[in-house]
Amino acid sequence: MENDGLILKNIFFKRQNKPILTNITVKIPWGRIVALLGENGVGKTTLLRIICDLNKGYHGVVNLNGVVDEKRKQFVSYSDSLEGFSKKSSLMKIIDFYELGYPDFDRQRAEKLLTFMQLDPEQRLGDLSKGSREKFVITLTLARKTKLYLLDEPLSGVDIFSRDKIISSLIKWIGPDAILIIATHHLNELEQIIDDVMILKDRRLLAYRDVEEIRVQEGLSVEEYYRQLYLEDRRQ
Amino acid sequence: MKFAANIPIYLQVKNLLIQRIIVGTYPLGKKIPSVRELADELTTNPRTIQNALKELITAKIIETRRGQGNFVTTEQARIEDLKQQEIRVTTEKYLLRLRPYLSLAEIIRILTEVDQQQGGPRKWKMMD
Repeated sequence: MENDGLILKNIFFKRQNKPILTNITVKIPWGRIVALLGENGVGKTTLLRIICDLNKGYHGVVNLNGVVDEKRKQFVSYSDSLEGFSKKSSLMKIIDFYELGYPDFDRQRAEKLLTFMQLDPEQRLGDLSKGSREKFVITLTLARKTKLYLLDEPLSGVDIFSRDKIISSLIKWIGPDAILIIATHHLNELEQIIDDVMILKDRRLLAYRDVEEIRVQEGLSVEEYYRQLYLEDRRQ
Repeated sequence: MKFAANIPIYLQVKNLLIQRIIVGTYPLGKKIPSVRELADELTTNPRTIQNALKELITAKIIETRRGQGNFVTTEQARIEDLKQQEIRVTTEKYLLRLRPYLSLAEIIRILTEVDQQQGGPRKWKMMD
């Protein structure tokens, strides 16, 4: 069994008999930071949830480090919406809960991240602004020491200062061999930290490319390339 | 640091490192920051930093010492070459913009004037 990263092979997924994703095949090597792009409703979140085995009933193979069954779940840190927690819980309480729930949760890293993000552990979840809440989600996600991190829209609705903090944290706290996939509409802000882009359109994978290669070969920014590719595809 | 999005980032990082070596931020024969530190400082991907360093290592501007990190070359001549090249490229670019409508004498007069307005040699941290 191949174990050099994350491999998706012929992934198909239907919801109420309607195809959502068709024939997604891609290989992501260790150490890559990948932006997952596509219009609203194209299936970015669905794909992330398939990868971490939250969406069942897909066809195809998800191979993470050679693990293809549901055991791969334990190697994936997926950003939590925190909806299961009471508004009254303090951030420290939630961290305690995470520490109990995940054996790979690194308490020290979580505390350093809290300081880095300028979050107060005594604060209550319900009192956080949108930006702080997102910073806290990132704190919890990155505090696990694992192979694969999945972030769903970490920058949407977040003020620019929190955005800067979140972006720096992505390179500061993730191990050099881990894979990070970020589903996002904020490509512009992420241009210089990503390795690859993965573009979904009309239920399929339109492109998977190394971003520096795009700049060398096409002389385009990733955003320009993305726009061009999308429009060209429409014309065909 | 914000890099131009349509030019390979590793080339921009490489040029920035060359600039720092020429100016002396990273002195001759001294250790430069680690890949992680640079990635952190410049907010870029570590792989991008590695690609920039790879080119500088191939050009023998930087050398890797096993287990110790990366060091600026100890050969003054190499840095001098870089400096001359940088002077040439920058000057040519500058002249290309101004020479079509200014005489050389005018350019020199303006250069002197602006330099003085800016506070002269004191302002620029380099020697004069």
